[in-house]
Amino acid sequence: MDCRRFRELLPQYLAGDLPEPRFGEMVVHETRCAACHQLAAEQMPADAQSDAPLSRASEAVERESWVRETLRRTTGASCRTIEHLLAAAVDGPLERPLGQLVLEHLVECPRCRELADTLHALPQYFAAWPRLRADAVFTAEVLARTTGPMPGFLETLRAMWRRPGLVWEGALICALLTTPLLGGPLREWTASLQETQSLALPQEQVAEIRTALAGQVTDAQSHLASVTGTRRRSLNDQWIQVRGWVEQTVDRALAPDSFMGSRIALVRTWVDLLFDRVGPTSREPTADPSVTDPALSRDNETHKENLPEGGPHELHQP
Amino acid sequence: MQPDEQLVGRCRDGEARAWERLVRRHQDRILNLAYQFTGNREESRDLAQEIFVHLYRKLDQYDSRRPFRTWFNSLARNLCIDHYRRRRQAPPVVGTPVEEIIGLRSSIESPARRVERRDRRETLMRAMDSLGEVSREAIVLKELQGHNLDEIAAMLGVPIGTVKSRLFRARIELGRAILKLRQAVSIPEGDLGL
Ligand SMILES: [Zn+2]
Ligand SMILES: [Zn+2]
Repeated sequence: MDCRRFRELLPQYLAGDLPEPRFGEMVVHETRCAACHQLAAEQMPADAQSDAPLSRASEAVERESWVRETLRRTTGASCRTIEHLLAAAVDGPLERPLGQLVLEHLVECPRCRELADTLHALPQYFAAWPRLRADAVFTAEVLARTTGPMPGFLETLRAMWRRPGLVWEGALICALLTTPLLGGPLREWTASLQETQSLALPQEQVAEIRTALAGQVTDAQSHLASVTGTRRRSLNDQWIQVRGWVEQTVDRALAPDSFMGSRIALVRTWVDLLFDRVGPTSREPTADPSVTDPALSRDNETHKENLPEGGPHELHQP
Repeated sequence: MQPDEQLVGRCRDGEARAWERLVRRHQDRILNLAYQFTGNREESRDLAQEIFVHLYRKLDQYDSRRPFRTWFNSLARNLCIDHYRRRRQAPPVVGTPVEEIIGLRSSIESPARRVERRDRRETLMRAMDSLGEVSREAIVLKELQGHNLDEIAAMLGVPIGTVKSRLFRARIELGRAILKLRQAVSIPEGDLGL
């Protein structure tokens, strides 16, 4: 802002309808330039200097009251400019001339000084905002409201039982979940892995598997311990809470190159023998509409080799 | 980790497990977003669940060429704003319940610092409640969610200059509100550090 521009904008400035940031710039110029200040004083509308003595003799008094009046008229708008700059300064220091302008204002204006202090402290306030973590009940409720209620714990196991490929997973989950209740038979089982020399696995690999499993059992125990006893949690919620962890564990354990993975083929054969299902893997019983139809179900008796016998059979929905 | 966009595709094919994974992946973030808008734990739970239910119904409308996160953020933000607007029309019970903090470095902190932090938290929560929806949104997205101005502009569909001026106005409003609350109990803020 130079003197020529100041004079151009002076009428608007004095009328009070000059928008920001021009207004702020005018104020800054006026406080620095005695000539323009004088000019502004001369052109000040009469009603704005109502409390200025008209006597030429008391020029000093007149001048002082004019300064007071200008301040009264300007600080409001100018504070708005400063506030804006203060808010911008939350993200980092202002550029030199703007920072200077703010500092000069703050020396004079206690109102803006207070605000500057508070804005400066804002990041500390934001850091104090608490963070929440979604718990198992939350997940369960979301799933119940979208995909329908989660299958019950036993139902899940039954469903797995009906899918031979997942029998081992189901058994492992069973073992993991009952471990905290039964006092750690799985831990004993993992300890017994040490005696599996006959499997011709390197000793350190066995030890590695053993520690990994033992650690996971402890994890599961503390996990379940934290779940039980808290508010409105059913068995279902417990299941959801540990499910992610169990899935991860199973995935890791069942990776084809893992010790367990290499045993799965063997176990599967056992399971198939157990249920007399050697041959092509069975179909998914519940996914087959024929099972729910009694007439067709009877018809299925003739294709007995495709259906699981014994326990799983009686679990079918009527 | 499977990208969100792929998971959504599997969700659309009716795979319940994919949906569960999507929920698990975003639930903490969405719960916190809802909490930042409501400032109330129970309310934020309901609101966050509402967001997921809404997302589930709208999955078919998702355009897989766009990043999922941006799309989901806009959807969540719209519901939060609606909720905030409704709530301001019928203000809830006076006083913010004392919230339990999870995952803060509480064990390292001295008791004095912990008290200071709790004061700040309560002051901030009350001051935030006095903000209009536009200002609250600016504070939540920039200061609490930590998005940058470009992201916010994309999310809200407004120019970056608008985001900036909204944010500055929101900070001033918030600063004044905090000042007022502190003056009510006369705690001065620290030294000026400009
Ligand atoms: Zn001049
Ligand atoms: Zn000021």
